[in-house]
Order: sequence, then structure tokens, then C-alpha cells
Amino acid sequence: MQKHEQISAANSNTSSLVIEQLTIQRQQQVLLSLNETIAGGDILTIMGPSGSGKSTLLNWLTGMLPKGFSAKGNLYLNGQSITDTASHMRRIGLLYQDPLLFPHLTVAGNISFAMPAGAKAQRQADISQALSQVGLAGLEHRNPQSLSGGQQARVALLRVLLSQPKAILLDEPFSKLDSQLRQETRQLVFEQIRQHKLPAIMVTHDQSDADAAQGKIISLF
Amino acid sequence: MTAFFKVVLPSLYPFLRLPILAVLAYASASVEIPLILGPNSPPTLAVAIMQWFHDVDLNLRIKASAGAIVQIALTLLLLLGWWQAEKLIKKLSQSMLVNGKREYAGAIIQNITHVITVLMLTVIGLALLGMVLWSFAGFWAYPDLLPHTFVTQHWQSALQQMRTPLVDTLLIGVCATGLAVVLTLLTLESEQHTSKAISRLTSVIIYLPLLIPSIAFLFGLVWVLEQMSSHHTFINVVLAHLLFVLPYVFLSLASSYRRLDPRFSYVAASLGASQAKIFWQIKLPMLLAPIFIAVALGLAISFSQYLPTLLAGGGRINTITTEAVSLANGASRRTSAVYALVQMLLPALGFLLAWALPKMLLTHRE
Repeated sequence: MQKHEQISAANSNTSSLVIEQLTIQRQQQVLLSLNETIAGGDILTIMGPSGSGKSTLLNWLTGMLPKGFSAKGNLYLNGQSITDTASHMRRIGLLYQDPLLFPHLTVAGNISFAMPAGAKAQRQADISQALSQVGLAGLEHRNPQSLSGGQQARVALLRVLLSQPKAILLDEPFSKLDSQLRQETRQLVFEQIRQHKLPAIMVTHDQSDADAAQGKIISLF
Repeated sequence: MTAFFKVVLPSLYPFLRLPILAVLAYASASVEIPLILGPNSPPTLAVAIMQWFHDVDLNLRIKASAGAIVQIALTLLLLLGWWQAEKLIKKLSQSMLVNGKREYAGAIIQNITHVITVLMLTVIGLALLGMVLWSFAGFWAYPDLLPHTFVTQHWQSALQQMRTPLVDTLLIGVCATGLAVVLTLLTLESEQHTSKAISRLTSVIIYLPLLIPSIAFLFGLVWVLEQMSSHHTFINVVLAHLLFVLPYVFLSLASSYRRLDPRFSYVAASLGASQAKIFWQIKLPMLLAPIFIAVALGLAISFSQYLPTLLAGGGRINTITTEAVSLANGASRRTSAVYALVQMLLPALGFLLAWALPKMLLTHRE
């Protein structure tokens, strides 16, 4: 996996994710405050021990802040405020440490679940092309559970990319992969983020992830 | 063994409490069991209440209502007694749990458990065998071990007779279970939307029919149903069944539904799927197996209802169970055996389907 071509075209010149004057509180207690602008292709790394509010930040960004938390501040994606937009309308992709492929759908089914509606043949061709670009050619009709961990991670990445997000959030995305696979997958994910010029936020507790991201690092306590 | 009593049981018991209390409440007020086992003996309170209600002398209805109140008090007293005993044992055994003693006659307890298990299984197995033999028996004189001849005539005639009850049993079961599953799924889904678990009061209302003796409140329910629409007996029976089916369906579905990794929904939403799409295309298919089990359980509960069918149906709707109970103290042991076997086979078939169908549906595309 040296070079990967761009998987789909969803980039614009002005893509950016802006977190403006964010303060998240839990029961009157400030959990974190943040004021950041992430340009397309940049990866902001958030580090910190568990309980420091990393996941809560991701929850706020995806519009899924749990009960008991309150937030002040605004979120802009490509210049538009999405602070109060419903989760599924935000166009913010999400990658977890587990691939979380839907077990009742095939590999192709998982990806087409995420894709915008369109002609069936075109969608199938797009899926096949994307799969072969990450070394998974011909696995369209496989059951996700029958794939290896690295293969599942790549399908999860394709699923996010083909949903044509405008930004990407990574929640400890590589922590369950062994070191060889970790490097390969990381390289693949970061390449795709840069090629698509997507603003990205990565939450991690691994220094090598942070170094590889080559972006700003914020530590929460 | 000691590990079981000291570590496993104390953490397991909270999960067993509701089923134990439900069984206790049921046993204290069952109508069909005394009817089957001792139809001619002096009635238990529950059976007496039913006889008073059905008496031609309408004055006895007042006595029956009083009886129902006594029955509730009795059952509550039992539940309360159990609860107090539970607390007492907890208090008394507290020191035993941490005294460090490793062994309490483990071998003896284990042997006793084995003996009880074998005994129970043997009795059930022999009863089943006896029923199968009776259902096929021709002439069977007293001291003989086996019937002289085997015939299929009882099955043929019984199956012919039971066509209407069988269809009614299935229709009522499907309607009540369908309603229960839909209501449960809606409740659980809305619970996740509002990210607020249902209140204690709501759970109590859902599980209440398991803890209050049905003989005590069913007459009231029947009276209410009669005030509303006395002509739709079928709907009345379905609603009465729903009362008992819903708690079991809810119990069996709730844990799987709440345990489903919420990140699947988060990922789906981040991929642009609306809540409705997530419900239909992610949650339902992923929970297919637990839903099938809940359906089978709901059907089994509905199939087994005696009193609600009898009372809400006003005696006009017969199911396999009401037929089996009224046949049990009748003349033909052979016909009874056929009914009892059918009554057992129906839920067994349901569970078999619930176990096999999701496997078939999920693996055919491999």
C-alpha cells in the first residue's frame, strides 16, 4: 500500500471546520474549552487521559451530547453554522477504534448504506473501484466478520469516505491494530484525509499517532 | 459449591427476583392447576372466587369481589413474606460470606442437587412418555405395562375437533404478540431518542400483571370491557392476553435492545442515516434473533393463558388451553393426552422457528 489514488471527489478549496468559543460543562463544572480552526487536509490531535472530555468533545461535534452535559459555542463547517443541525445532516464522518461494520450487511452493503442515492450500476462500480484501490478487490459479497481486522478497518474507512463527508472525526482509530497494521492503516487514512482536503480531528492517547498526524496537538487534562 | 453460594448467588439473585416473585404470585392464585389436579376436592380460594362469579345467584358476585380482595391481600402477604425472608437470610449470612471458610459440605449439596435434578427430569420424562402412550393407546387394561394396541384414532378425531380452537389460539397469539412486540419496540426506541430510561412507575405498570393474581383483577377488566364493547369478544381476548404477553416480551427484548452498541447508531447517523433509517435498516436487522425469541415467548405465553381467555371471551372463544383444562377432568384420558401434547408442541415449534429462522435468514447470502 504505497500510493492510493483519490477515492471520490468531495473537496472544495475553502473547506474548514471551526470550533468557536466552545465550553462544555458537566453539572456547572467546566470540562473543557476550545477555540480552533482546522483547515481542509489538516489533522488536529486531541490527547488526554480518559475522563478528560475527549469523547464528550466528539459527541458535541457529532450532535450527540449526552444528557447531563451542556455546551456553549458554535460549530462551523465550510462557513456554515451546524451548531444546531441534526446529527445525520452534519456530513461529519466518524471512525472508531472498532470498525463497527454492520454485521447483517455485506461489505458492499455496508458501503452502499453510506452512499448517496444514485444509479445502481454506477454505485456498484464505485464500490468495486474503491475496494480494489485499498487492496480489497473482489470482497464485495463477503460477510464483514469473515475479514481480518486490517481489512475491516479499511472497509470502515471506505464507508466513511464514500458517504462524502465534509469533515472527519477519528476516535482512537488505530488502537486495536497491531503495530505493522497500525502504521499501514494510519498512513492510508491520513493520505485519504489529505487528498480529500477534509478537516479532521483525531482523539488518541498514542504519541506515534499524534506525530504521524503532523498537525496541532492539544492536550486535555 | 461454596464459591457459588458466596460469590455467584448474591450477584445472580437480583436478576432472579422478579421471576421468583412472579412464580410465587402465580402459584398462590392459580386457577387451572387446581382444576386439573383436583377437580373434585374442596376448591382453593382462587377457584372458589371463580365459581362464585359464575354462579347463577348474582348475590354471590359480591362475595366473589370480597374474595378477590382477600386473594390480593394473601398474595401480597406471601410476596412480602418472601421479601422479608430474603432480607433475614441476607443479614444472617453476611458474616458467613466473609469468614474465609472455603468449604461447606460441598459434596453433599452437590449430590442432593444431582438427585433432585435426576428425579425432576425422570418425572417429567415419564409423564411425557405416559402422555404419548395414552394418546396412541387402544385397549389398555390395568396391570399391563404397555397398551395392547396402538391406534391413531385419538389423534385423528382430536385434531378434527380442535381445528377451530387451534385457529383461534394461533390468531389470538399472533395478534397479542404482534401488538406487544410493536409496543415494546416503540417504547425502547423512544427511550433511546430521549436518552431517558422509562421511569420506575412505568416499569411497575408493565410488570404489574405478573405480580397481581389474575383472578383478582380480571373480573374488573372484563366488566370494563363489557361496558365498552361486549360484542367484540375476539378483541377482548386479545387485549386480555396482551396484558400478560407484554411484560414477558418487554423483559426479553429490553436487555438486548439496550445492550446494542450505541456506536452503531452514531456511525450510521454520521453516514447520513436518519433515525428512522437507523431503526429499520440497522437496529431491527441486528436485533432479529432477540426479536424472534421475544415473539416465540409471547406466543408461548398467549397459548398458555387460561383464565383471561375464559373470562374475556365469555366462554365463547375456546383455545387449546381452555379445551385441555376442561377435558382434563373429563372422561377420556386419551383425548386429554392429545390436547396436552399439542399444547406442548405449539410453543416448542415457536421456539424452534425462532432459533432456526434468523440463522437461515442471515447465512443464506454467505
